[in-house]
Amino acid sequence: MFKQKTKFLSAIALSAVMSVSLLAGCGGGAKEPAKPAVQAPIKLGVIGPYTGPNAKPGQSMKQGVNLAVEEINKAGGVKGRKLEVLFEDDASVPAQSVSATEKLINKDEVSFLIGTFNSATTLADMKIIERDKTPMLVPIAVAIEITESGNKWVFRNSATNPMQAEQLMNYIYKETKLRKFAVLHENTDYGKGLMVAVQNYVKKNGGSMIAESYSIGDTDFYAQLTKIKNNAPEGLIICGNLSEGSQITRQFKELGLKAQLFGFGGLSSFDFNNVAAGSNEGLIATSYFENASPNPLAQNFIKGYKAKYNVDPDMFAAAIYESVYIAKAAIEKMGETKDIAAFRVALRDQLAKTKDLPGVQGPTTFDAKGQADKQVMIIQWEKGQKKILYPKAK
Amino acid sequence: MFQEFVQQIVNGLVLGSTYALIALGLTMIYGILGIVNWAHSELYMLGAFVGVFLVVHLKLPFLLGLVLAMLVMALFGMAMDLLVFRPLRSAPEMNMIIGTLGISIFLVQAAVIVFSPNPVRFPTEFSDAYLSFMGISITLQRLMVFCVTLVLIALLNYIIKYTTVGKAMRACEQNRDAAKLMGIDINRISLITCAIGAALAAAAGTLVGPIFLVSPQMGLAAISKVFAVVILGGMGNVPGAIWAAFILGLAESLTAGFISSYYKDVVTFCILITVLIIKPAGLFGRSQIEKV
Repeated sequence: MFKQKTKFLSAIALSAVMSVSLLAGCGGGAKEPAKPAVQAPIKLGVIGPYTGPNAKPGQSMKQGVNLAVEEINKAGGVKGRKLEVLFEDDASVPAQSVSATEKLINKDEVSFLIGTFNSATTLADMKIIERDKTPMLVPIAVAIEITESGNKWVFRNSATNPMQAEQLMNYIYKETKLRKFAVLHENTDYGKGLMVAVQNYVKKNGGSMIAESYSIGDTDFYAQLTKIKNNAPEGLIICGNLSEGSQITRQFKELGLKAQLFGFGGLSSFDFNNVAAGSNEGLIATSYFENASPNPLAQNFIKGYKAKYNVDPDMFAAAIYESVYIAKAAIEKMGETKDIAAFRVALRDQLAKTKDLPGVQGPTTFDAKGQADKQVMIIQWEKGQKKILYPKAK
Repeated sequence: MFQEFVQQIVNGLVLGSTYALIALGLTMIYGILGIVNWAHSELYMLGAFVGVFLVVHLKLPFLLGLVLAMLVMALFGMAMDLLVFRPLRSAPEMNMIIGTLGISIFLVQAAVIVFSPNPVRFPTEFSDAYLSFMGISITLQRLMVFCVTLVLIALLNYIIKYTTVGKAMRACEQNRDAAKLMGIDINRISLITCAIGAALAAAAGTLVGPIFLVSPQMGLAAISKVFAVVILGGMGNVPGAIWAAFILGLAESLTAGFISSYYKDVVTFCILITVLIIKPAGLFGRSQIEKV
């Protein structure tokens, strides 16, 4: 009885499998001769941390991409082909990011990639894109190695670690008298890269600096901050993201430290402001994108984003939105290609030629390494609002 | 220098008590029921969210919120025992481990959907109260973590040592079959143990949440340290876990303060490895001979 039942079940399963594969076979056979894959959508893969400690910016990435893709498709797509976006989560873990990249390139056969959030995951993925010859736009990860590694498949439309660290330090040395610093950095490519850039700047231009580190996911910074307190720096530079950053500013206040706070990237977002809840008062941070930007493309983007999601965009959404348009411009300049591999190569060659392309973050020109020359803004938190310190209002 | 040393000791004790609170329930459930509960860190996370709901949204006083969160999570612990642990009790050990891992993954993903992955703040009436004494700073909330941990340790010790239920729990720990023969209802003991374990995890979440942030990932971030504590103290050994928690907390704080924060976690896990080489059963564990 029991045996018969299993036999019966496996028969059903087998026939199901067979009919599915038969159908699939039919579908493929019927489509192919009718029309070559011209009308098929252009697939792009977006790798980001949709879960884990950076889930919040991960969500901004998704929203920025979705808005750009929706706008492009509404306007008729790229050369008549729609864009189809596939998201893969890497949870900020390099190993997971690598499998996401493998899947998108080899299983989903995307034409190009956009990603990721973290520098460590991007660096890990770059080995795969080079092997599989697939271009990747990097709108957010800022480690210098990404465009210094000689990998010709990678294109970044944001300022690198040394670029933004140098721009912040330039501001500090020009506008303030602070010369004694403490750096508290995330123990990753991103945090270390910033720390090294600050260190080099201080060494070159005079001043002193001590460095302390923490791991992603750490919650208690009393030990590091106590040590920093006894060193009595004039400025504390936080090189990390908003989850840890907000706890550092809070514990900084709890321990009664007195120093000017500085931060990068993520610490200029309103999400940081919400979790820091006042402990970020006076903090000065670099920012890639501000809603007060006079750029008309940016204003257009802000309007569209607000209409769709009912919130203001952050710089991650802006950067990744811009990167979709950079890819679109490159695809439009491409000739016909016979298969996906040729498409990827042709797209890479066109991306490399991108010059003075207007975007929401300002014009993009890629140098020979695939790095765009971008200028960051500098802001200061004042009662939960941002004051733009640089560029100065005209 | 001396002041900095004392401040680092204070930091280490608070950090140690956060480890101790989470580790207590984990090691107790292992000791009495023999279950390596991977979902324990998620009970801690859920407890923190229940605390946020009670204290921030319903505006209950913090201590009342703490007690209620413990009660809510005790019920949750019982449900977990009835739905997962009891059906798996006679199955091979591996099924139980996979079962608890399953609960963990389920709860984290469910929390991401329900609460969103964004970290939330957990402000309480004690959050903004700073105490400063001879240059040593601590917030009232941190001081409370330390004090409540001590109270809960004493309470747990009393329950296990001096009540009938506690005696039955210890009997199960020593020999489950013999305990059964003596007329102890294993199902009931299992239910009570899970309730206490979950309540302790909820206490940890509600106490620690306000000094850090509350998010669905907070459990995953804590679990590796907590397992280190439990293993260092000897699996299933409650006093061992408490000592180990404070040792690790102090080691981390002092390493970061006087050597370098770069070596903080290195030192922690070196201690763990050294202890495991010299005393495989943990600092306070008795090595047991498995009878066949």
